[in-house]
Amino acid sequence: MSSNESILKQIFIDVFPDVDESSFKWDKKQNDYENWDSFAHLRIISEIEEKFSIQLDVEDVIYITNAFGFLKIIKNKTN
Amino acid sequence: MKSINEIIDNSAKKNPSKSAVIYDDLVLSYAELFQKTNSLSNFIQDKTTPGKVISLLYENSPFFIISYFSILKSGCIAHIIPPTISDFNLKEQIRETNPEIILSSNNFKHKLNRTELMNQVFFINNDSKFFKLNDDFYGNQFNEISSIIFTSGTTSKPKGVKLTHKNVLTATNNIVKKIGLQSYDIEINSLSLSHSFGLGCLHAIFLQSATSIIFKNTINLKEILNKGLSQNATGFVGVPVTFYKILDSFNELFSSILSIRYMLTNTAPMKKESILEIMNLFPKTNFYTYYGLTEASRSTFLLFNENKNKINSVGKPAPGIKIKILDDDGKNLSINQIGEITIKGDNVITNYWNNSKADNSINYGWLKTGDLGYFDSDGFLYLKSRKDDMLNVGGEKFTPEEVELVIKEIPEILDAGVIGISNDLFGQVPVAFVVTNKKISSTYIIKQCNEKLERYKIPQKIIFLNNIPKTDSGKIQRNILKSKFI
Repeated sequence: MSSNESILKQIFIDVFPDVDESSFKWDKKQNDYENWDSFAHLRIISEIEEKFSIQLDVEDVIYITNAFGFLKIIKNKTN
Repeated sequence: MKSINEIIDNSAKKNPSKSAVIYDDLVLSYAELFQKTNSLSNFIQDKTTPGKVISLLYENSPFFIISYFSILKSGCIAHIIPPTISDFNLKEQIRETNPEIILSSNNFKHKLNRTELMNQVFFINNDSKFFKLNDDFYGNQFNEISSIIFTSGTTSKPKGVKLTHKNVLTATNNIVKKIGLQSYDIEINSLSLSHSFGLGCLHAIFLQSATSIIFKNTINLKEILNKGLSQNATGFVGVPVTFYKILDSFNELFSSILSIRYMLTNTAPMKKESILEIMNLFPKTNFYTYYGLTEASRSTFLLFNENKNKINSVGKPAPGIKIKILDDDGKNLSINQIGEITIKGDNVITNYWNNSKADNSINYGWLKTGDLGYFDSDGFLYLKSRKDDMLNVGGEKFTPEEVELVIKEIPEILDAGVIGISNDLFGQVPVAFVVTNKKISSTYIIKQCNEKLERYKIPQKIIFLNNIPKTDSGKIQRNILKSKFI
């Protein structure tokens, strides 16, 4: 697992109390999390911005519904 | 009507086959809703006695609705817990309300396990079978407590708002009257049902035997709008953040729902340009806002379309509601003078749940809201600011003190001050300033906050300072903190 992937995984573990190392899945859908609401979305975005030192545009992230979607954006922004 | 649950009983009698709730692919008719609430109510009556508290922890779902109305039908008090609640506050609210049982869904098993509340819980889901025993339900409850919803206090501790059936039915009737809800209406409810705004809209829809489309997750706007389009929705209710996101990203899809005849927003002042943009997109649609607190729901209404020169106001008092503006000495202020908004009416609570300190804000039926505002010469109410430093993040209100207390529990923190800074999407987001006795990371502080606070209360940024600016009396000078941030 690349460092990008492990950092993002840790962000999801921190934001969602029901997610841990073993239950984390890249393709787990927004609806299957314990309350992935707009505030959780905001927290994920601000954690990503801080940890990866990047700026995310609302238009880029509003459609994202799983961890993999965020990973793709991070890869685009950091490459 | 003497009890909220009669809303469903009456609609089931008049319009049994009409759709009450649409959720994903599930459509629940009024007859089905009536039958399911009767069955669960019998189960509840078997477990407890009228007047006892029963807690509800659900995301938006038909099970929330069935459970809520069943509790009322049993003559019990529904303690409504928002699904966003932190583990810490969940335990606090359960300790405060001391419920007989907790009704919840499987999705909260982890949370209830973590908080050691599993022994009190009954999970209500598709497989739940409750046999109907009798039709002997609790009758007139007009002046009795229907529900408890916790809101932020003017100090750090959340306070339980004790709503009576009368309070709720008054607000419900006012929504129906002001918006002109009809039985043919199909409303997209993009709100959380555990909040006064979302639940109030549901009550009004049910009173008129209309249809509510609800969603588990209110963040997926594309799905919400597509559902509205396919169902020929006639109404849309949402917080300003939802409207902003729609205008930013789903403008075309939104404006293709030609059947929408009304929209309603609330909880935070909406940007003037967004209001105008919506009215431009939907020239024939009535667009409303209102002002109210959980303690005094739907106290004013404003129809933007008819009051284009009053767009910044929150409208005029609703039928039967009195509002006055008071100065610090409790004297009435005149037109255009800013003071504390104070409300009286059948929508206003009598007192809080076991909180005599908070009860001081209610005198002879007049509720001091803590909101500052004024009336113009035409009788329109304008909101200016708060008496305290309450933050409003996407419609969720809380005091900075609540966040400061949690941060100050961290051993390395010597002092902390929290402010709200402007955010395009959420209106405000919290930022924390901290003084530490040794080097610690922002992540460490945020992690601690995560354990005790709801997500919207968690600071988006941590700024390290040598000291927190304070007045001689020890009050945090938040304006100085704000200037430091800019």
